[in-house]
Amino acid sequence: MHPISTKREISGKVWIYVLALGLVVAIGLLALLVSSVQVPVADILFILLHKLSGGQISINVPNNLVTIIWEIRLPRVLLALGVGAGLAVSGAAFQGLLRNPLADPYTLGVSSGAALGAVLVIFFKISLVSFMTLPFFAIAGGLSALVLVFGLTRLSRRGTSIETLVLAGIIVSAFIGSLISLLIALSGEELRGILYWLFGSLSMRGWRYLALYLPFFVVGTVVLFLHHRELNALAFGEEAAYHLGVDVKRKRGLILIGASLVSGAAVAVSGTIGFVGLIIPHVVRLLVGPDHKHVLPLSMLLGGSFLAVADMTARTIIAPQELPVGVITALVGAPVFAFLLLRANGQRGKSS
Amino acid sequence: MIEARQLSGGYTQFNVKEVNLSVERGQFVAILGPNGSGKTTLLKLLSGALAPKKGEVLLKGKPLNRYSTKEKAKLISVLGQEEQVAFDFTVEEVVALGRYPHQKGWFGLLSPQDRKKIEEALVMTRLVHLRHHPFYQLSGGEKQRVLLAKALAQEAEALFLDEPTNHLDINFTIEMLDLLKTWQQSKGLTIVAILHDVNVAALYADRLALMQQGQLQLVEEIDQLKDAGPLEQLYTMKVEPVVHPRLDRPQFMYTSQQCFKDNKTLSLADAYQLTQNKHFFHLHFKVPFKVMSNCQWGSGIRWARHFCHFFLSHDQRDADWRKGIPRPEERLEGLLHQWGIPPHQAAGAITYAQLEHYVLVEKQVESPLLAVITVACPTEDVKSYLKASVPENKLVSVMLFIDGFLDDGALVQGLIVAEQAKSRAMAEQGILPAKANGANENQDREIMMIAVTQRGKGTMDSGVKPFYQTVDQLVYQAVKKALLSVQSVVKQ
Repeated sequence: MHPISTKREISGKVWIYVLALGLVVAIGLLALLVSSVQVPVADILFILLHKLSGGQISINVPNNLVTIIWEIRLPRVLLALGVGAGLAVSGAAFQGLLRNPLADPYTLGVSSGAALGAVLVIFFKISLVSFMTLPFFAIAGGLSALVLVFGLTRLSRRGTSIETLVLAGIIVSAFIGSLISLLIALSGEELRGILYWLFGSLSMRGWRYLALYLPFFVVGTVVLFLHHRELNALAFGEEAAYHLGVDVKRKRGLILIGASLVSGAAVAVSGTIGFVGLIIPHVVRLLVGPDHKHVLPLSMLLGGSFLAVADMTARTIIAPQELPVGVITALVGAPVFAFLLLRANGQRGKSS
Repeated sequence: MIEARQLSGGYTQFNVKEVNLSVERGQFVAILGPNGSGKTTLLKLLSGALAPKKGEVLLKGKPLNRYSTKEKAKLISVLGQEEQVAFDFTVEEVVALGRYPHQKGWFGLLSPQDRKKIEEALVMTRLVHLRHHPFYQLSGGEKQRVLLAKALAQEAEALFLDEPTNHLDINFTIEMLDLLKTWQQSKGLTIVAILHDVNVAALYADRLALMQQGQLQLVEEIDQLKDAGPLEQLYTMKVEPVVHPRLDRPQFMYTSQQCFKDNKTLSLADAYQLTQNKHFFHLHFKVPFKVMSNCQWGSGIRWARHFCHFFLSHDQRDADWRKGIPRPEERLEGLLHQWGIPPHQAAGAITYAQLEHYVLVEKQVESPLLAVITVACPTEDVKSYLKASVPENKLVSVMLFIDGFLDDGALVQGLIVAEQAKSRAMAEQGILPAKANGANENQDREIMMIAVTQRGKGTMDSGVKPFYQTVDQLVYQAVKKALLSVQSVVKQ
């Protein structure tokens, strides 16, 4: 046995977790601080303490600042962290499940499917169970898009190879995109609401959205965490995983549902934000290796930080106007995606 | 351990039809068969990866589909042809995946027992030094070793392998199968393997399952393969059973159809070139011969085109002794290089005779038999050679060349016939055969050699008796002629 190396590895990983958590807290606080209306750091901390203690700690801060921090900025920052975490963790799960380092909710059509679900709700003003309707439709849309993508790859007879999957994802996304365009063309006063989802934005969400998102996020990520070993076993393909003792059909279904819950809910509250689920798991794997035991939680931490920074940039870079956060993530993500694609091809060339 | 009953199944049609197979614990069963015969389908049916359409598979007496996936994985592990891994897992992480069916709890941490088994598998497959190495960077042989380690870490009682050595070089193939065999013998591992190399399968397997168009024919005793019949039927091609030099296992050679094309009979006039001088005597043939001989260079059975005797005086021999050149082979290798004769295409001997006394008797017999017989009287002193009082010098070497096909038995028979003819001719000249010939390898050796082109369908077809009679006649006449010519030299 090699107790020394094992110990060193564990302590190395602990440091990464500590750093990642520190990053989340630091970025969270920074995001509260940076804005058009400057609020001193001390005041922000006092407001947080005041609110968290249930008003027991009294503070000497103007009420409008309290509202800005507590009612506008904090839920927005927390939602950015949560959505980023959700997109990244579901991206990691999709990549693991499909053995495809280029898969994520966006490339697989889950995001556009979810967007279609959301747009349908807005367009037809569907209201089944009050405010739960939209996330419900978004998640259902995401799942059906995924089923469609899988159906296409199965039909192509070339199996779930990387190329066919990504191609099928593009086809389905394009198809759904045209459906959304159709709805937009037909829409009148709903137009603004619809475009809202499509750009992907975190502004004006408030606590209610966070409350709406959180249950799906928690359930989905717990499901995914419980399957980290199955995700590892799937690295050699479904048949190899079956021979290792993985009940592939059931576990695959659970992982797909878990990942779609999280990503569908993320789309439901923030619209389609691309590339977070694609690049964050990659960066994490470069840091800690491909073991999903670490990839999943660290993807959450880094994904949350990334989206919080992106959102901070989106609302400050051309202040007082605001950019959709999806624009920022795409601007950063697309070049990274291209780099990863080239690198993956290079690796395959070497190994063959 | 595993039993298939009337097992039928496949993807689109029945690739496997009503197969019955029972594999006992600790057995090594190899599945052989041409491409598309249903080998992989059979393995998938047996491992549960594919559900049978008819019949059933019993694992330890219980139907396979009544096991949970995890329970089944504790009993059967599977190693595929070449597996592609997503992401760059390290060797150790890949091997650790093998512990999946044994891990409990939600977090699935590795227990000390898990770590021990992983370590054991790494040691067994000699991968300890590569444990932190990325899997995808390994060579094909190392990758298969890692996957084998993963399968071993799974601690299943049976291991199924689908062409595990498909893309491996032969050294990795042997290394891997040696490892499997060790595991089989030390831990009672049951092995069912699809192998594409008949010889490798015959070396390692206890039983063979031959698949042909979805149907299974069992070879219970590996010895049954010593008859080429089952394999020729399986692959519909010609295979030649050969003898393994060290192991009692059937082995096979494949014959290219090319070799049946050039069937022109050799004509003695231009079949060979003869070089003869005071240093050596050298026959160079245009076509290669399969040679069975006791030549010091190239003894036993080999293929050769160059046949030579090198002359060494007794003085040179003594000088050799003093210089400590111990073996005639080494001396011969030097001489072959010196005279530009390719050693790997030569059969040669050292003689202490003077080469002027070599006699070459050649005779073109009716096709397909060609005979060139060389008789030597290998002694320095021809006069003393004929004195009956010096028995150890009465050496006659015979080289017999035949254009035709003889199997190994016919070769031995040919040698015996030639030796008897030689003795008869010598006895008629009043010479008794030498005693203890060749006991000391540094002494003169009487060379007896039979060389055959192995072309054509078989000399034996034309009738056994006439063939050996011809051999007998040719050798007898040649030896007689040689002895007479030596005597005439002496009389002068």
